[in-house]
Amino acid sequence: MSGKIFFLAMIVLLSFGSALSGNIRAVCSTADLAYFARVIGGDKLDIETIATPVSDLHYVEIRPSFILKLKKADIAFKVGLELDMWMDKLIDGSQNGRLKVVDCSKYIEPLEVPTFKADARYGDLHRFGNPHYWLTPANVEPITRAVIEALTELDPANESYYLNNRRVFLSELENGLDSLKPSVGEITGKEVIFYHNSWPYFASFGGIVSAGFIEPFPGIPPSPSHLAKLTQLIKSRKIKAIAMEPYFDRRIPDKLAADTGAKVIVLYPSIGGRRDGESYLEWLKGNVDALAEALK
Amino acid sequence: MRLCSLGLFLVFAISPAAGQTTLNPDISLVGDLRMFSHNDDTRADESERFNLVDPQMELVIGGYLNPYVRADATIAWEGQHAAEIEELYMTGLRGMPLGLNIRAGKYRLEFGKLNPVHPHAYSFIFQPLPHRLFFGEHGLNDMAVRINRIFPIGHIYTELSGAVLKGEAIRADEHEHEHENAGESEASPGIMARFAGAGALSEDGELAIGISGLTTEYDRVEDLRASVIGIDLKYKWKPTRYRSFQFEAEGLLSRRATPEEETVESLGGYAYFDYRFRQRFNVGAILEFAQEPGDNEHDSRRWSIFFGYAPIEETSLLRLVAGQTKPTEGESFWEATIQAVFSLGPHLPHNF
Repeated sequence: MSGKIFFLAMIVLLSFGSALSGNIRAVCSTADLAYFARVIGGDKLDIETIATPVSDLHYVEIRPSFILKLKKADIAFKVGLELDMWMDKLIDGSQNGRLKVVDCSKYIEPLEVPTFKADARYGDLHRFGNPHYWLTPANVEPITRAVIEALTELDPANESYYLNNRRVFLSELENGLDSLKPSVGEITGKEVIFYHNSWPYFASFGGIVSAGFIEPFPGIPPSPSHLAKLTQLIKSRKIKAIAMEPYFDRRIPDKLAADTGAKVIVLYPSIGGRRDGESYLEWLKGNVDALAEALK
Repeated sequence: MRLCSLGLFLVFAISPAAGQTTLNPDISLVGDLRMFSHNDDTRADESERFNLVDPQMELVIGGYLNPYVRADATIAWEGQHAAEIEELYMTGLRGMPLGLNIRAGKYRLEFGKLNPVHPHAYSFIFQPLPHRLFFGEHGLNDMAVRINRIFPIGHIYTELSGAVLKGEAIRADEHEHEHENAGESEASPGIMARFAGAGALSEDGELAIGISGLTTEYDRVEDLRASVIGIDLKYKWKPTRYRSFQFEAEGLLSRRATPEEETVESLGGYAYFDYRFRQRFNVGAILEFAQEPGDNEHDSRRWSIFFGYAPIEETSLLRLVAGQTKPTEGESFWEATIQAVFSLGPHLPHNF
C-alpha cells in the first residue's frame, strides 16, 4: 500500500514539480524571443525554447516533447507573420486552455508586405511581410514592448521589476550600438548576395545592399540558369560576399564562390547561434564583423 | 447516452453563439496520379503492361469555428466513383471541461501512429496490409466521439484517449455474412482506447510508443464480437533540415468470434524505415504481414522498397514503390507503382 502511495506521489511531483517554483513558465518559439523574455523576465521566468539557435524556423518538426512544454506553460511567445506556423499546431495540441499566446510581431512595422496577390508562384512568400524582424536593433523596442505588456498582464505584482529590466536592457543596447558604429561603417553601401531573403531588416540596419539571392524565390532551390545569372552578376559587380544561414547546404554557395572569387560567410539569424550565452549586442557584432571581414 | 449527446451539443453548438468569423477556412486540394505494372495473374487484363489509374483527389477544408472549436472535412474522389465524405469532424481544442480534447464526427481514428495519417502523406504508397485486412481499405475510419487528455509525467509526454465508435470500420472487411436485412448496419457501437507516450531521446531524436485497443459487436444479428489490440513504435531522428531517419513498426492482434462459435486470433504487423537526404530525396523499405481476420489459415505478405523525390519543394512529390506480394490466395506477384502527388493550398507542418 505504501508503495502505491509513494508511486502516486512521485507522479504528482513529476507532473507539477516545475509549478512549485512559483515562476511564470514561458515557452518561446525561437532562441531570440527566449533571449528577450529572459532579459525582461529575469529570475521570475522559467523559459523553454522550441527551435534551436541554428534551426531553420520555416521547418520545425511537430514533436510530442514540444507539445509537452506548452502543456506546462503559462505563456507562449511566437514570432508571427506566418514564420513559426508550427507553433500554432503545437499550441492547439497542448490542450492548455489557460495558455496566454503572445504574437511578438504585434508592434512591428513589417518590411516587404506584398502589394499583389501573394501566391505560390512567388515561392514561400509571407503574406504579411518579411517575418525576420528581430534582425535589426530598431525592432527590439517593439518586440520587448509586446513581451512586457504580456508579462505585466500575467504578473502585475512584478511590473516595476520587468519595466526596470527592460529599461536597463534598452539603455545598454543603445550604448553598445554606439560602439558598433565603426564596424557598421565598413559594410554600409556594400553589395552582398544572400542565400535566403532573411536579411532585409539587418540590411536596413547596416545599410547593406542586397544584390541577389541564391534562391530564385523564397524556399525554392536554384536552377542552373539562375546560378549562371548570379555568377555573371557577382563577377560584373565585383561582389565580395555570399552570406548564408548555418542550416543551408554549403555546396551551392561554395561553388559560386569558387567560380567568382567571392567569399562565403555564415551569418547567424538567431542569438546564440555563433556562441552559447551571447547577448543581442554580441550576436549583432558577430554578424557585422563577419561581413566586414568578407567585404574587405 | 442522451446526456452525452446533450453535453456535446452544448459544447459545440452553444459556446460559439457569439458570432461567426468573416475569414475563409483553409482549403487545400491534394491530387494523386499513378501508373503501375505487375505480373499478377488474377488481374490478367493489367498484367505485364503499364497501366494508368484514374486520378484521385482530396479536398481538405478546415478552420476554426470559434476560439475553442475547429472543424475539418476531407472529401475524396477516387477515379470515376462519386465523391465521398472521408472525414468530417469537429474538435474542441480548448475551454473543454478538465482540459479535455473532444472530437466528434467521422475520421481516421488514432489507433496506432499511422492510421490517422492520410495515405498521400505516407513515405510509401499503399496502406499496410494489417490495416487493410483488419479495418478495411480506408483504415479505421468511422463515426466516433473521442475524448483525449495529455498527462505530462516529468519530461515524458503521455496521452490517454477513449472513443465510442459506430463500429462500421470493423464490419467493412467482414464480407462473409450477409443477412436478410442487408443494407442495415449489422454492427453495434464499439469502444476504442489508446495510451501513448513519447519523449526526446536527444535534441534531434524522439521516440513514441503506444498501445491501442478496440472492441465491437461486428455482427449483432449473430452476436459476434471482434477486438483488435495494437502496439506501435516510432523513432525519428532529424539533425538538419536536409537529413532525417525514421523507423516505425506496429503489431496487431485481432480476435474475432465466428458463427462456428469459436474465437479466431489473427496477427498482423508492419515495419518500415525511411531515410531522407538532401531534403528532397527519401528512400526506404517496408515489410508487411497479416493473417485474415476470422481465418488465420490464410495470410498475406509484402515487402517493398520506396524512393521519393520532391522536384521543387514539399508541394509536389514523385514516388516509386516496387515490391513483391504474396496474397492470401494465389501466386506471389511483383508490382511497381509510380505516384505523383501535389498539394495545392496552405502548407501545414506535419505531426511527428
